[in-house]
Amino acid sequence: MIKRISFFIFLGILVFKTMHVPTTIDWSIGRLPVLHDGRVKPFDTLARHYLLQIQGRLRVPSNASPTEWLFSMMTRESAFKSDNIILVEHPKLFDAIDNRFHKQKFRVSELFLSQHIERIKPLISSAMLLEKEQRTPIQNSALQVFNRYQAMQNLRTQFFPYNNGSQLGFWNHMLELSQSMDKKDIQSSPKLQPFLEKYNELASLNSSTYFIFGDQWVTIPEAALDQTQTHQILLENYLLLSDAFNQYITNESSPEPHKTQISAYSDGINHLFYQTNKWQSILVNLEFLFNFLNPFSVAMVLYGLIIMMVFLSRFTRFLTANTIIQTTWGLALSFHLFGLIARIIILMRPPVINLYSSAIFVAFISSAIGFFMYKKTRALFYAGYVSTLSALSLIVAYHLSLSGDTMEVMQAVLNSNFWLATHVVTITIGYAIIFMAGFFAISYVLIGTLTTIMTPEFEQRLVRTVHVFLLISLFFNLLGTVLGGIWADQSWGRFWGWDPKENGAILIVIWTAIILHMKWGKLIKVRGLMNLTIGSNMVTMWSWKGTNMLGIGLHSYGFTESTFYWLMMFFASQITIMALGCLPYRYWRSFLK
Amino acid sequence: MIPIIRKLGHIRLTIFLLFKLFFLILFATFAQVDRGIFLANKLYFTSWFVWGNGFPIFFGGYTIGALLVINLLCSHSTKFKKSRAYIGIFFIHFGLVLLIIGAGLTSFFGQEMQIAIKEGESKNYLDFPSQFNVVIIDASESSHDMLYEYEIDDLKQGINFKGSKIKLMHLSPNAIINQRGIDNLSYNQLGQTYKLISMPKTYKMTERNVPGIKLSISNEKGSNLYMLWGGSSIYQSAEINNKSYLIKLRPKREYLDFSLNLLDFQRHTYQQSNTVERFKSMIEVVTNEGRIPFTIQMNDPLRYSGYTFFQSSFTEDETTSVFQVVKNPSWIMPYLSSVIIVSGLFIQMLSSMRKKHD
Repeated sequence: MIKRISFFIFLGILVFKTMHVPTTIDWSIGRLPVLHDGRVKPFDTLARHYLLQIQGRLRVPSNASPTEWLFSMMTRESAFKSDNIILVEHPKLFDAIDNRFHKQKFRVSELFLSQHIERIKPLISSAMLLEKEQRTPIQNSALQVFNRYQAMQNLRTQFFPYNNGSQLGFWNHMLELSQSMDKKDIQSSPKLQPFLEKYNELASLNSSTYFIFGDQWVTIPEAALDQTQTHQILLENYLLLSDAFNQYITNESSPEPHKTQISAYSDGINHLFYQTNKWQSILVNLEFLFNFLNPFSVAMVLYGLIIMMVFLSRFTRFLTANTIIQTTWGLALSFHLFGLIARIIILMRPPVINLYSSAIFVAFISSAIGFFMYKKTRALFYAGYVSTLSALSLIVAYHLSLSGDTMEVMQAVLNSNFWLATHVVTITIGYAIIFMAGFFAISYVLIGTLTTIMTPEFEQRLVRTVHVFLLISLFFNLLGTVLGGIWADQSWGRFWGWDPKENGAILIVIWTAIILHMKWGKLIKVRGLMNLTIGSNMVTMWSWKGTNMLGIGLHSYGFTESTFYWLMMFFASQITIMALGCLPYRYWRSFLK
Repeated sequence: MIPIIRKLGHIRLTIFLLFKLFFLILFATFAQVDRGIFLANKLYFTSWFVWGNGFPIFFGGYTIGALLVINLLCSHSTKFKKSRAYIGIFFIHFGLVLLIIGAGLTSFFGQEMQIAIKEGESKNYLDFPSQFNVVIIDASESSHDMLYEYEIDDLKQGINFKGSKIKLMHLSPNAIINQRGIDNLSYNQLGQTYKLISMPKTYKMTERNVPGIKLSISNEKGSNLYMLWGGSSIYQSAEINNKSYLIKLRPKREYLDFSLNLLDFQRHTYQQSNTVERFKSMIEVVTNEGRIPFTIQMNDPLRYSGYTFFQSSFTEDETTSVFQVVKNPSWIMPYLSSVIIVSGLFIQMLSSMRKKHD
């Protein structure tokens, strides 16, 4: 009993630690709605997006939250200027300056780049002349560094100029100047000069972050320069907010009154937004909650925990795990499901819209199927294997999410919920199920060759499972491919265009058909079936991730070099296991007798 | 007879062919990276053999497709039986046969064309974007033009036209033109001030090959040289036996018995961003009986009189809308076979589930 209670306390702490628990500032500024890249989102999401883009991770130096970081960047002069934030991914870019930069991955500050960017300028300008595929790795990295540097500098032009730290001060000063000028002699007025300076300073800001002004989306500089001054009151509210934030950061000794002010100003804006647009306001808050709960990472950690528990209870007497595993798995599934549903509601899209969400979905489908198999059979084996598959798929998703916003708006050609919901979802379920078949096949080879616990009954069970999963995946993959053909016929005028992604999908179907026909024709026995099914992992991975890297065709969305590296590693691992599976039975530990 | 059919329908042959198909598709995918999707498809899929150094090195798509169809038909003709479990499998395979035949028919009879219309204008012909023809137009009649059209290949040997000989002197499959420093008086018109520059052929999906040619038009009195370029909108005039004609190299056309009128083209972007949410063209089909309004947008094409019009592109200024046009008499085949395959899969699944419960 004590063991169980302490376990649940441990589970609670683990989940809590994996979430992104918001600070007071996050609760107020992080929930402000912004319009960016065509989608309304909470300020918190925008901050995460920029952090991933610029530094490739969410943790900010000096322990600021993403929201605090981004709002500082926008409203505080030279904030984070000397913090190492900008990601550099090549050992030869700056190693001439200092040998400690001879690393594959490190971060430098904006200040550093302002002094040393000249050094890599030739690489940047040559990279700009070339198309992406033609660039060398070092050119590519140099260009990326430059883009991140620019993005970082751009953030400083999103809000408002400063005047001795106070933005409201600047604004009042400008209003004062403009009112003090006489309309008649405006040209000759000596006061025109300082006004023009202020005006130009404001007009030079190049903001693409749209804030909410009542029911309109306007950038802060636009609102300030608006001739009719319709947004004056709300603009002052925003400026008061930024001044309060500034004071909060600078007065470390007594932050509480400033925190209250910050909450009050942002609540005012949020409240008005709720009144003018209830539904969108709810969505923004849901997305904030989604960021806070961090559901996919929590699920990933819990799947990892299940794997550990399976090992502990299989090989030690430390745990007798049934209920504990079921509870943990249930919790993981609920977080996973919450994440999926939240995404569906926020985007008003089916669950799979891009590579990232397909990985999330594959993990969910296999986990859900595995959960019911486990509940029925209580076989620890299912728990261990399926959790591994789900965790791996979520890790893949996590790495894909580092490349930016995973909730992007859809291009016109993909903008069809009906086809996204049918073709894409069906195909992704097909991927998930064939991966499960492949994983069971791997388990057969590994357990058979490396351990002594494989029994004839277990073997028969695995053969049945693999066979059934292959059949179901053939159904989903064939159905999904056919649906894809119909979509293609509807939008591009041909049922089948031999686009690499289409080729990939049909490869899976053909490979599955080959395995099944060989089994039916009695051309293969257990080992052949398992080895070919492991081969299907490679075919599926190729179709799912590999084809997108070719950079051609209508499905080419998302190439990263690290993806290529991991793809090759995956292929190598599968081939190794298949080689192991090709060993004659007399060398398998389970069949040694 | 039966043993041969049995051999042709053997499951070993099925598996052999499936492996062949698997690797054909895999190799073709890699070839698509270097050669572009269009050419790779021609070499690997719409061919009987894949050729390397003049030798057939692998079965092409046609061969594998045809053999698979034969294999399936033979297999089912020897093993056909009337049982519930068999019906599902039969449906799946029958659907596959239809699908393969449909794909073959499409590659033989399907045609892809293009039409670009400006807002407020109407057009009654379609262009074949990659096929250029030489046209000679007699515009002397006020009521109608006389049109003579020749494929570039026909001109290689030279043809007789109203007593003159027209012969192809030079062909660049992909070319641009550039202004000459000094006029070249041996040419007429365009060729005098512009020269043709050959470019390597492009296989990219976003680019197209625009050919340029040099022609001689000669009779017993002498000969004239003309330079024609596919990207030019100018009709050059040519004296042929004391009569004036217009001459041009332009995409091959298919004339329609109706015309299309573009009323309005709209591009919607997501709020305050550059990402396009949808393109939309409001058009009218103009026939002798009257005008029929339609809206064409992405994922929502217009099917009319055997043609299917898809929203494909537009010009920068958003006044011209470009449609891809497909004429595919066998377009219904994939739909039909999909329905059959999917229902076969369902039947199969249901019957195997029932088997489990029994």
